[in-house]
Amino acid sequence: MTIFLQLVASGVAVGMIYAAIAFGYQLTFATSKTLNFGQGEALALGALFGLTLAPFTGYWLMIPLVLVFGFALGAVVECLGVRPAVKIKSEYGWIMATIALGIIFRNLAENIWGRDDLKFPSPLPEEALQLGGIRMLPMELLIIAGALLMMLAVEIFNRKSIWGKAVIATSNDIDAAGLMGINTKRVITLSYSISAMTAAFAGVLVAPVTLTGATMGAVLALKAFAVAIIGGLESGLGVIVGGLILGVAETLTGFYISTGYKDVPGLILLLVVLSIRPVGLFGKAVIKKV
Amino acid sequence: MAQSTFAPAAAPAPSASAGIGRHVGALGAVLLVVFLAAFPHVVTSSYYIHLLLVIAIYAILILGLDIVVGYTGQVSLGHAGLFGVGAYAAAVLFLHFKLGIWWGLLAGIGVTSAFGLLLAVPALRVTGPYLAMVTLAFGTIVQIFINELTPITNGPLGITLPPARVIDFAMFGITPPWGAAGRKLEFYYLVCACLLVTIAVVNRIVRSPFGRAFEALRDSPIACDCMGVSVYRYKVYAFVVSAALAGLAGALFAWSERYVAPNSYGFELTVLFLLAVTMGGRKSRAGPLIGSAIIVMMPNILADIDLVRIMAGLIAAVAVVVGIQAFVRKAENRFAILVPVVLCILFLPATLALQSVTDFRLSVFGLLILFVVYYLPDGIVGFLREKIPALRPAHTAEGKALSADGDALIAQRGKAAGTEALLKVEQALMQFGGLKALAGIDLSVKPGTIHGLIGPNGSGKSTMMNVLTGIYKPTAGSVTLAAAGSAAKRLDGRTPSEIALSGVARTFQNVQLFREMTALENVLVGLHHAFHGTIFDAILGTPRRKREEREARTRAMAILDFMGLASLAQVEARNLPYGKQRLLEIGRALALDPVLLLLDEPAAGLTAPDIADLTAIIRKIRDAGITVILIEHHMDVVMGLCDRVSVLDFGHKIAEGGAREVQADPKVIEAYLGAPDDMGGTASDAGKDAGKDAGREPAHA
Repeated sequence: MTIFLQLVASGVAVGMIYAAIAFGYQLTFATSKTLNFGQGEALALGALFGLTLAPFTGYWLMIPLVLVFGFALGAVVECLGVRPAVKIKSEYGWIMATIALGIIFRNLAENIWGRDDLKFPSPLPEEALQLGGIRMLPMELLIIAGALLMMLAVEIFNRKSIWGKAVIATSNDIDAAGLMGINTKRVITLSYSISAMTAAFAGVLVAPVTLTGATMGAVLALKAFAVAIIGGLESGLGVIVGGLILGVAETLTGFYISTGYKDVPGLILLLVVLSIRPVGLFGKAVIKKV
Repeated sequence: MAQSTFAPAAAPAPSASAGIGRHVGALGAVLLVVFLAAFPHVVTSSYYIHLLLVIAIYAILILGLDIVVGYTGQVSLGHAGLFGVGAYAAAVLFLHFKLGIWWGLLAGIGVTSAFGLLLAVPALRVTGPYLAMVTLAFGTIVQIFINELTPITNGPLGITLPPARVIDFAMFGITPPWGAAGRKLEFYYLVCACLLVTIAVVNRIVRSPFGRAFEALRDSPIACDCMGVSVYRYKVYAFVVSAALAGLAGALFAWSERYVAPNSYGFELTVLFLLAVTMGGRKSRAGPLIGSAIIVMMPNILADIDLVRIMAGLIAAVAVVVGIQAFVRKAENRFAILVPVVLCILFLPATLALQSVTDFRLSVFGLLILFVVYYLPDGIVGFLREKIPALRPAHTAEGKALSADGDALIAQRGKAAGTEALLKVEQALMQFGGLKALAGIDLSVKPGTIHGLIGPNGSGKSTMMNVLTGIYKPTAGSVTLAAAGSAAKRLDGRTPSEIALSGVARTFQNVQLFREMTALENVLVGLHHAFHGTIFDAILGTPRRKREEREARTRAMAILDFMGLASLAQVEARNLPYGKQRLLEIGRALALDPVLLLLDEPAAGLTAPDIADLTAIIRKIRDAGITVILIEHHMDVVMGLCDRVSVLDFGHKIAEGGAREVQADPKVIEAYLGAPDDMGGTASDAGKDAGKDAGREPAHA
């Protein structure tokens, strides 16, 4: 039982990372019905950028700089990859363009930071804490808290600030928002920026407990998409629940079956949810108008 | 073989008027055969022969990928996974059972078809980014399983294969008729044969009703279903055919490389395949061949830094010329074109500065994808077709030779009459959350009549249409169709395509044509029900297939003639004027051979002469014995045409009767114009009514 609880606890930490990335997918999907297929690269670049800065600034001071970096990266992706494709109404266009940008970023990262995985120094002690019989790394606790805080901060921004309200208005009805004088193009750019910022932040959170490298984001991003689907692309609570389900399912699979298969349950879950309930567990069915 | 590969599969006797276009295809096929046959005798270097082999093998896969990407318009990121499954199917058969290449090819095709079917289940429910992610997840799962299922796949070590023995002369007890050099080429020619067969098969499928269904579901899934062509089923077909070709390519690849390893079939390969399809050109046979050649040769070119520098110089020169030209001509988008021009020029100093671009291979591919997506969306073939009209597909010009008399079509049916209702709607309730779009409506439509359905905006007319055609499943109530000569049939709860095949056809309020298809092809999709051939009929071009195609084309031309569109048969639907698009939609619906035709605001946006034409046509349709339900806001059209009119308001039927009767009904007048204060109802009621009517569009009277 203790082992089980232990696995669940580690699963929660992993799950929160997925939730944070999935939250980023939701942001852009809400405003523009598009996703950044290079979200994993935003995460990896955030982590690598943080790794380079950390010796000069220390871990905590590095975080705001990484956030700025992620923010700028998202704007670049939106301007180069998404906006022109949305203008010509090409779904294929933005999918391929964000994939292409992702590949370019990954390739550049490989050329700058090398192809080998790097060790990210942990800012917190690496001895596990005993919490009621469960051992948890301080870093895992930081991941949980950090991811939740990030999502909370974005939610507050959306609800309280004028720009956040513009984001929500655009999500609800982009045409109406445009007619009300909201510059929806800039809102979409903003949503991409926040989305990539979340991913970059997730990168520096997760980097100390995994290895850091140009390819670290690919599978994370795919599984985060699974989380976004399981939770529903429209539901904020959904991604947290989805992230927890997936994170726990993974650590359990890794322990009871084989670590080689630990990525499988998430992907299978993705296929199953889409086969049965494409809007996700928490999503609402959309009625198409003819 | 060479003759038929590029020629239209179902061509009746070639007509003299056929343009040069169709000969380009045949010429290309002959050149390809000659090139493939002669290549190993001219270039004896085994390195280049192997390069050509890889190009041919990739081309097989990309031709299949084009069915999914080009024809059905879906993005698949799972084709590298399917390719890997095919390769491993062949390799595993050899590893465990010592079965040779022929078994490998069969297994490759068989196993991946099954996987394609499996993948189709989640993929069918979703489109766009969802589908891309689903297929990406599939590809990742395949890679994980290949890595982990060590007892079967030999894990990360991979499987090594011996040279392929294509023809086992020893088995027949004869000595090989050609020497060792010839024996080495057996595999080469096998791959070439597979490529040519693939081209022929794809060519025939995309020109058959299957190919038309693929294109139709891309352009408008909802109209596709309403034409009796199940989107669900044809997406499965597209996926399975595409997967089978990926499997064939995979098996050939395993025997060509003679080594399979899990990491060769990852995400990058998938993206390369997609790049090849788009860069070569969708919806063509030449495109995938060109695309395949580019993605295979590119790494070799990039490895040679001098060659790269020369090419970068050429590109920069071209960019300068294009840029200056655009600037001088003051093209509208001359500033937009500045970005790629500057990038192309900057590429030259970048290559000069770098010692090797091999490390930046993926960045170059990424930039290529961006370039293709934004500046060459139709690929190289599409670009050439736009510039050189002779290269455009000839759209099987036989349609003109088959022109038929539209009025003869109409004589085929007697005048339908009878007192029994053809369509009976009882207590139809359609609830969206708390909103009752239809609040228990009864409707009874007599055969051989034009039944009008009017009401202010938001009264539930279109909802009714969608309930009748199965797009919405009614919350409660029943819909029954009782066509003369067949038993009454419940329609509620059936899928749109089942309802369409029972004889209910419709048009749409906002035109839902298959935009990239010609007018003739649009009608042919409506005639899909007339084709009974299987996919094997389509591939083999059996006599049945040819007869069905000929008959359908004759009928389609007759319908176009009836609609007055015969001269526009070969024009793509998106290029037709709006009025003609509306007519074409009705023609496409007529192709279903319906007993009941639902017209959803057919006159919306038409000019007065167009409306006169339309009225005449609707009358002719009624006279041909087809019952019509007409939703319309043009009151003169409704009043002039309809034998009976039902008026809806807020989901209720408020009046029914002859056109004049309804027009004079105070309740109808109230619904459209609001109640005057002195006419019934309390003051507060009237105030409420005025409020709810304020947002409504006035009826076009």
